[in-house]
Amino acid sequence: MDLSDEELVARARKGDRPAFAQLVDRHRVSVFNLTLRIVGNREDAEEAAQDVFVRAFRSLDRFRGDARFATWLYRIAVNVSLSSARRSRRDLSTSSLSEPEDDDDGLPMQIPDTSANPAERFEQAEYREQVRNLVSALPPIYSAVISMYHIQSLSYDEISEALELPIGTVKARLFRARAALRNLVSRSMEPDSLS
Amino acid sequence: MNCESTQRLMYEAVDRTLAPDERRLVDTHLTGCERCRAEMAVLDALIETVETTPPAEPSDAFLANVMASLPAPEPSPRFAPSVVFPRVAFAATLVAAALIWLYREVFAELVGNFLPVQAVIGPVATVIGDLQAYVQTQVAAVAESLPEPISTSLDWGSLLLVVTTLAVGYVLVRTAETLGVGNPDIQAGRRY
Repeated sequence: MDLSDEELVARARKGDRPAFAQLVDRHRVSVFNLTLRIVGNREDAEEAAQDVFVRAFRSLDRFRGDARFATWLYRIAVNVSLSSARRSRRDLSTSSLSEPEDDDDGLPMQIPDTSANPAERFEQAEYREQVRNLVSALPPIYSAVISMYHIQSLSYDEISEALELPIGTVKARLFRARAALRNLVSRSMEPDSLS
Repeated sequence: MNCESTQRLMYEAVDRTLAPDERRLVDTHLTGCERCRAEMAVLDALIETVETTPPAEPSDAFLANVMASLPAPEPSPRFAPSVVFPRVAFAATLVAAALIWLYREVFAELVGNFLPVQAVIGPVATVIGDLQAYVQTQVAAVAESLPEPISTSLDWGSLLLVVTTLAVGYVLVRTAETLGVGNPDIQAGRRY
């Protein structure tokens, strides 16, 4: 019989390491995909994801069960990933929960020419890979909200808890994140960017 | 509704959180605007691609690496692995004190000559001499039924030895409790 996360946490608190191993196994893919979207490369993302679980283990006594264990993990994952991104791929000023300063309303500056559907111009797998990379190329906060909402299927409430931001702010950032992703896709499909 | 307003609402429409009346406005515009219709299709396809892209898998060594990185478990107590240790020690102290008292003549032969007990106790013993005689009588009455070599006389040196034994036992028990000897909760950093 599968134990719930909360039951496994209770056991892990008492020093039951196999119980904690079950928690790691259960959440490793989702945590890794979140760190991957924010950090941007597999090696750093895997290191960050491992760090997330080690920190979670050390802080188990502080998990009160107010939120889901997964949400609590994502909060740690976002913090660890932002630190990792700050060290590796991102500019310091954009590696935070704040939004990019030069981002106005997040919408495309002009309506792009969409006469050709990008999905028709690329093989599907290649297109998916490119979109995955473009999500990682967004400012970290945008990568985080898109990953949590569209990939991890978290609710606004859960994202709000994980990022410790008001729900209204989460919605606004998700809106801008989609627009920023759409802009990146448009630019990446331009002939110059393909050469 | 113009193209710019429609585009703004499109980004909310993709997660189906748009209010019904706003959704109708968008749909009405899309019906008559091929450009926005195409943009909506692209946006829908983009979000669908994001949502349906298979998750990346961490390496096979991920779980083992995490478990190897966890802090080492606390060493288990080497001595008296039981939370009842302080109580057991206290009981042992009482038994020891009782034995010392009952066999105080034997103990007096062993250690009594080295204790300057009488010099310290003498003046007090004079004052409470009557009390001593009374207690001695009572003890003798009780001890008549006990086998030799149980002592029947009241000996202040032995009494002091018993009191000292109790005091040392108390200090040891309190120290054991403070250090958490034998108490896994305290060993793990938790307090009562």
